[in-house]
Parts: sequence; structure tokens; C-alpha cells
Amino acid sequence: MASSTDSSTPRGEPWVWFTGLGLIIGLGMVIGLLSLVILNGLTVFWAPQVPVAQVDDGRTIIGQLAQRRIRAGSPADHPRYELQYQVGLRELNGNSYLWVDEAKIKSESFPADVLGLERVENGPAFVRPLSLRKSDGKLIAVTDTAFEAAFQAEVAAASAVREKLVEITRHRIGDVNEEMDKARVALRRAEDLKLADEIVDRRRQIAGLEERFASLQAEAKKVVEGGAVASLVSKDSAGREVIVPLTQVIRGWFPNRLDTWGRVQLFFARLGEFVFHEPREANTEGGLMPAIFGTLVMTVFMSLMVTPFGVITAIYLREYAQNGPVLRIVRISVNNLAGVPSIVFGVFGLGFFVYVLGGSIDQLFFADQLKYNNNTPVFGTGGLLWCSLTLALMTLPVVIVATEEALAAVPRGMREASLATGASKWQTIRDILLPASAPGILTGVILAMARGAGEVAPLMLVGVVKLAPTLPFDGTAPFLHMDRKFMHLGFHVYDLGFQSPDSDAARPMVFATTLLLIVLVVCLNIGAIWIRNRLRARFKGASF
Amino acid sequence: MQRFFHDELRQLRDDLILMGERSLDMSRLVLRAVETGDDSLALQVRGMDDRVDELEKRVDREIMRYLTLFGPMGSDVRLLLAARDIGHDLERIADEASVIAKRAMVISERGPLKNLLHVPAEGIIACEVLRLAIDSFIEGDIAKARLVLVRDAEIDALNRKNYEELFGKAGDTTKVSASHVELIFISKALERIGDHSKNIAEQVIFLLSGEDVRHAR
Amino acid sequence: MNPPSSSRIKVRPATEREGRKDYITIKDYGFWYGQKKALDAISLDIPERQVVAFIGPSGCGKSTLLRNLNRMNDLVDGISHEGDITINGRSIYDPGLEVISLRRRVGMVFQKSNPFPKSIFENVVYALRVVGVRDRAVLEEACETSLRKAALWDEVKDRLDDSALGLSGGQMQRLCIARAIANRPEILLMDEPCSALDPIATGKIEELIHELKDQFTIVIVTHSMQQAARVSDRTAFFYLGKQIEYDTTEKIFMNPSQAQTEAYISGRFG
Repeated sequence: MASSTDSSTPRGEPWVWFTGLGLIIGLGMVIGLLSLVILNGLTVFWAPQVPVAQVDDGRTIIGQLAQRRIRAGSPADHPRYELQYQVGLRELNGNSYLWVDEAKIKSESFPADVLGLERVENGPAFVRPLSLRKSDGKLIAVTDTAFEAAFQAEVAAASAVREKLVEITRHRIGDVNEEMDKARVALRRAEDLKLADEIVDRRRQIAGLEERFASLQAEAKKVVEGGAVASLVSKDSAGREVIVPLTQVIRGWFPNRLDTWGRVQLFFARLGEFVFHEPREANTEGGLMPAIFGTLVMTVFMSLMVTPFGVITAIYLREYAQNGPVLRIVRISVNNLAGVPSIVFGVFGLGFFVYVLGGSIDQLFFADQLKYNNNTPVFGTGGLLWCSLTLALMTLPVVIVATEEALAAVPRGMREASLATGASKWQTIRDILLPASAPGILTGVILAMARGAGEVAPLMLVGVVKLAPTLPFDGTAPFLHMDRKFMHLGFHVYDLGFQSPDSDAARPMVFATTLLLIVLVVCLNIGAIWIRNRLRARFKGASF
Repeated sequence: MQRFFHDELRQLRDDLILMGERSLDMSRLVLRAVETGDDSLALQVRGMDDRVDELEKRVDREIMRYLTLFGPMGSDVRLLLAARDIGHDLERIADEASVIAKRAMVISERGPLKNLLHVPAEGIIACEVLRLAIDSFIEGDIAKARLVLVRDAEIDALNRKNYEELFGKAGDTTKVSASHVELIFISKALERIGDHSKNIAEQVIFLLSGEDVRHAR
Repeated sequence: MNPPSSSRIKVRPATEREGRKDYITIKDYGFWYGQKKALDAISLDIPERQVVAFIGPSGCGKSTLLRNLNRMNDLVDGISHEGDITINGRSIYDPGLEVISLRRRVGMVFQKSNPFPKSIFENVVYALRVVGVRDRAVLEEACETSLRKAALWDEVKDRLDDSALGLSGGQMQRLCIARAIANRPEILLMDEPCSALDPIATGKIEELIHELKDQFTIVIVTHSMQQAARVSDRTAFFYLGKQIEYDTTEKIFMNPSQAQTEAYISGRFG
């Protein structure tokens, strides 16, 4: 007779559900995080309708709704809300954002003539336009059907003028400035060494450069004045008349007139600006191009530096080192290195790489610079090179361990076969072991990249800045400037979140930047995984 | 797939066939010696016996080697077992031929015999039957082997007739000459050659069909 | 019965093929893994261009001895030896002899076929690349010669650039043989080359050994006595690191001198 405990279900079944639960929790957290970031990050770029709200104290507010929260001190069962509006016009209103008690709002309307403006300075503006003075002097009233088209045309023309100006001032004048700096240093050196001929040459060179500078400045002035400036006359929420020169306007849109397709287009336009353009307004507006570029370049360099070091070290540890207590100690040390807090690496990088190594390099190769350029260090200060090296050092244990595992996983038979053919140990490593363990090594590099791309603390000490005037990669020789400071997405998030003066304006950008950082790291990983898959297909026998 | 050691089986077969042909040659030759009284032929036959003995030893060595080293299966096993017995039988046939040669020389010493009884006929059939047995092996023809089993009876019949004619129904030995006694030995030897041929045929049937037809009544 | 196929090389009988009788000599050879004695006073001479089989139960030292012939055991820590092994008169432990050059003259095939994760062509010419041959024409010719000798050419000649890992087990092992003979070593060591293969693939490799012995001296370790009986000219029987009997294959299997040998080959061992 079968007893009640005689069950035919396999024992331990409930544990399977338990492990599934673990997976679900993990997935849930990831999805939750991503959703939070995506939602908060992407809503920055969306342009909703903009209300004109009447508050019961008589004020009129024209602004885009930003947040809604429970008022502090409101009773728990009867919560009272307040709304945050982005009204813009910081130079007039003192603050771009405004909190209003929801209960105090009498009415809201969505008139079609509300105009939103993204501006070069002082943030956005939401106004009700009256008329447009075009560059040829003609005046168009807002009631005219041609107003919108004319407005957009003028904005486009103004953008062209602005870009030309940037090209002259930043690029060409910037180049001239750089050359002048170098020439001045050379002049001081020549004066110091009393080389009469050189002094004359340099003085002449400087004179020539100053001429160029002056002519470029004149050209810029001409551009500024030459294009007659169009301007917009409008009323703000307080009824004041506001004149906005259109060279200040980056983009304008009528939020209550756009259809869904229009909004989508605007969304993508803003997204594009975010990714491809440069920041403005203390990084709270504009794009993140330099930060993206900086993060990318630094991560790539870090990977390029850590891979050979890590692989070579792992090869030595596994293939050549004698078994014994020394080897064990080295292994333990390498593994422990992975647990050292990243800020410690930053301090090490600062102390050793920047001051000792950088200082020595400056002494040896850039002594002139130091002497004649107010002791401005070249490599003796933070920069791309030291950042990459510091992070490479930090992620080194990951690569070493992954490479060692990959080498150990190569079947012993392959090694023996190679040696039995008469190959030397090095030939065996180079021709057989390394290609066979390449997928595993790449796994290590992927992990290292993922870790390195996300670290911020050490970078702050060793070369990342809030705003870098130039990219580390540009047209002037030697094209790659490893001594320059650069911008980094992770640091950008920290800076926006904690250091920015206008925390309300910065909040949406924090999420957007976080999203961008995640996307960047994912792209890097996908690239590396693709390479690894290609390698795996080539070496079908590999076990990773 | 032909393996390299399968060549050794082929060599074994060739050696057996060689033994068979030699034994057959000896039988034919010795028959002529009996009929013509030519001593030189008899002597030749006695010399050939040594060669056949050597072949038997060689065949046995080959069989032993193949069995030990190459692990035969299936029909290869039957071939090896059959080859052992066939080799022995052929060697015995050669021995009998040698005995016949000795007897023939004894007869011719005393002077030619006029009445050879049925010995020549018996000899011809014995040679035919031996030829049949050997062919059945070479060609793998089971019908020929079975024919051997049938025709052996003819040799037995002729042998009995020789006895009866010589000694009469009553077994009277008074008028028999010494030479005739030798002739009876020869007849007996021929009858034994027939028996050995029958054994060979039985082995061939076993080789080709796996059936053991020995000792059938 | 069928006549032998005309494509096969007609192998000369053992007596005609023998060159130096003491081509490889092993003299009072002892070998230790650390403290453990793996080989004890082994003495045997391997003649040129013969196949010698090492047989014996597991752990008897046959593989150890084989791997000593090309000093593959140098890879293990803590080994030591006494006695000597000479090849063509020169000791393999001669300090003036580079291990690498020894291994180039002594090819090895392993129990589990281990082709490199490269193309078939690259696998075969690896030995040549290792010694520095770069000329493409030379490499291609050597590749074809080796693959033909290993009876693999017809099967792979159209896909030399395919990965070697796509071959069947038997083909892989023949590829390893081709790789081992590509640089024309004088000696070929085979450590249970067929133990991972099915009977047909095994048969093909045995045929290959039969043909190769016209040009190479072959030493094969096998746990199959039947295989040793089929392919070898001489056989050595080992037990617990000692050499029990060494003689022609016929003598060992038909009428061995030692009772232990008789017990092993008749399956009464253990």
C-alpha cells in the first residue's frame, strides 16, 4: 500500500522555483533601472503643449509643466500638490523654474500663439510673440499667416551667421592663438639664450601672427555687424515687452500648434543635438559631444593599454613562472588588486603618474615650456594619457585573470602536439595558445572596458574637467593630444547632479546623460562581443 | 577493405593448391610407373614426397601464424580449419603415392606383370576424383565436392573387385604370386587415396556451407 | 579472393627492410616521477624501419617509456632518470643536443587527436613553419606529400583551407599523422593512436602504419594485443615498469618465453 509520502515528483522541485525567483528579481531590477532612466531621460526631449495658467493671485504663467509633487506639510489623507513650471527667461524672472500650488490655479488655456525658444544664453523662453522684424527691416505681425515661415527662415539664417562666427573665433583665431603661444615661448627662450638671429625671427613671426589675429577679428566683427540682425518682439507672462535678437535663438517652436508628427520630429532634432553638439549654459543645455567623445577615446585607450600588459603578465604567470610560494603570492596580490577601491587608484595615478612620471617627462622634453610659459605643465598635470593609464591599472587584474583562465582552458593536447612538433615554448604560445584563447581574452577585455567606462572617482583626480575647450583629437599635429584634459560622461553626471548652480534645470539632463552613458557602454560591449563571436567562429575548438 | 594481412590467406590458399597439384602429379606419375614398370618414374615420385612434406609444414606454420596474429572471423576461420585437414590429407595422399611407387619397384624387380587386374582403372578414377576434389576447392564448387563423395564408391568397388579376382570368392590364396600381393597393396593404397579425396571434399563442403558432412552413413 | 589494390605500396618483407639493428638503443634505463619509480632497467634495441609495439596492462610504463624517447616528459616537474637512450648513436640527453631538434627528428601522434584550430593546410605545415620555411611552393608540396602518405589527400585536397576541426575522428587522426611526418622525421612515436577510433578508422590507420614502415621507424604503444599482433614486427611486454619480454611479434604471441607474457596474451592476467 503506497504511503502518503510516496510521491513521484522529483525531490527539491521547490528550489527550482526559488532560483527562478532570483532571476526574476534580478531582471526586475535591471528593467526597473532602465525604465526609470529611459523615461526620465527621454522626456527631456519631448515637447508637450504649453499652458497659459491663471493663478488666483493674479499672475499669469506661461510655462512647460516640469514636475508635480506633494506639498510639504500637507495632511496625509488630503494631500495637496504643487506644480513646477519651466517658464524660462531667467534674466527677467530670476529663475527658470517656478513652483505653484495646484489649488491656486484658477484656469489653464492653450493658446496657439505661445512660442518656445531655445536660446544661446540664459536658458529657454516661453513668450507670446507680437511681431518679427526681419533682417531686411520689414515687420511681420504674429497674426500674419506668413509669420511662422518667416520666423523659421530667420532663425535658420541667424544660425548660419552664428556658425560662421564660431568658425572664425574658435577655430581660426584659436589656431592663431596657439601658434602665438608657441612663438612667444620660443622668443623667451631665444632671449634667454641670447640668440640674436632667432630673436629677430621670432619677433617677426609674432608680428605676423598678430596681424592675422587682427584681421580675423575684423572679419568676425564684419560678420556680426554685416548680417542685419532680425529680432522678435513679444510679451512674456507678466506682460512685459521682450525683444529677442534672433542670433540668440537656436530653435523656436509653437508647442500648441504642433501635431504629433511635428512633435516626433522635434524630439529627434533635440536628441540629435544632444548627442552631436556641444554643451552650453554650464552644461545644463546643449549637447554632450565632447563628453561622449572623451569617454569613448579614454575607454578605447584604456583597453589598448590594458590588453597587452594583462596578456603578457598572464602569459608569464601561467607559462614561464616557477611554481612556488613566490608565484602564489603574486597571484594573490593580483587578485586582491581587483578589490582596491577605485579612488585609491586615482590617488596613485595622481601621485605617481602625474607628478613623478609627468613631471619627469616635462623636465626632460618640455623644459622650454616650463621655463618660458609660466611653468605651465604639459604632462605634469592631469590628462588623457594619465587617465587611461590609471584606469588600465585598475582593470588590469580582470584581464590577467581572464587571460589566465583562457590559457588554462586550452586543451593540454594542443600544447603537447605543438611541442612534440619541435616548436619552442614561445612559438607554441604565439601560434597556438594565444589564438585559441583569444575569445577568452576578449571576454576579459569586455569586462575591463565595462568596469573602466563607468568609473568616475579616479578620473576626477587625474584629468577630467567640467568643460574642456578642445577635444583630445583634432586637426593640428600630432592630432592626438594625450596631454589634454577631457570631458567624461560619468563625471558629467556627477557634475550636473551635485555641482550645478541651477539644480532644477540640471535634473533632466542628469537622467539623459545617464541614459547616454548606459547606451555608450552597451555599444562598446556589443562591439567587443561581435569581435569575440567572429573569433569564436574561426576557432571552433575554443571552449569559451 | 582489403587488409595487408589478407595477403597471407591468399598465400595459404596458393600453397594448398600447390600441394594438391603436386600430390596429383605424384599419383598420375606413379600410375604410369605401375603400368610401364618404369623404375625411374617410381624414384621420381619418391623424391617428390619430400617436397610435399615441406609444404605441409609450411602450410601448418602459416595457419598457426594467421590464427595467432590476425584474429580471423567467419569464413576465414573455416578456411584455416579446413586448410589444416586438407593439408594433412594431401600429405597422406602423397605418402600413399610414395608407397605405391615402392611397391611398383618391388614388382618390376621380379619382372613385369601381365595381369594388372582393375588397378589401372582404379588408378584413373582415383586421379579423377582427386582432381575433382582439388578443383572443388579452387573453384569453390560445392557440386563438384558432392560428386567426389559419390564417385569414391566406384574406387571402393574396384578395390573389392581386385580382391575377389585375386583371391576368388573363397579367399583361396594358393595360386597367388608375390607380385600380385604387391598389387593388392597398391589397390589398397589407391582406395585410401580415394578416401583422402573424400575427406578433402568433406572439408570443402564445410568451408563453403558450414555443414559438417563427415561420417555420414 | 581479391588481389591487392594497385595503389598500395608494396612493402618489402621485414628481413629486407632492416637497416641498423641498434637504431634506437635503450640501455639500463630507469625513470622516476619524483620519488615514484616508473621505469626499471629497461634495455632494448629498436632496429631501423621496423614497427615495435609496447604492450602491457595499465600503468606498466609503456607510455612513459614512449614519451621519454622524444623527451616529452621534460614538461613534468621533478623527473629524473638513469641509464641512457641513444638514437643513431647519439644520446638524447647529450648536453649539446637541443631538445627542440630532437623533437623535430622524432614525430609523435597522440591518443586523442589534437589538430590545431587552424586550417588543414596550416596544421600540416606547422612543423615546417616552426623551422622557418616560408616559401609557399615548398609548403604546398610538403603538404601534399604528407597528406598522400597519410592516405588523406584524396579526401581533403579540395578543402585544404577549411578548419581542421570539421573532420571526422579518423580523418583527424590521419591529419595528426600527416602533421607528424611533414618535416620528415626519422622516427614516429604513436601513443595508442586508435583507441578513440571505430574499427574501420582503426583499420585505415593500421594500413597506414604498414605502409609507413618502409620509410620510418615506428614505435607504437597499444593496449590492444590484437593490434600489436597485426601491425608490429617486434613486441615488448612491460609490467609494473619492468621489461618482461622483448622479441619478434611471432615469438611473443605464438610461443612466449615468460609465463607472465603467456598469461597476459591469453587474457589470464590479473
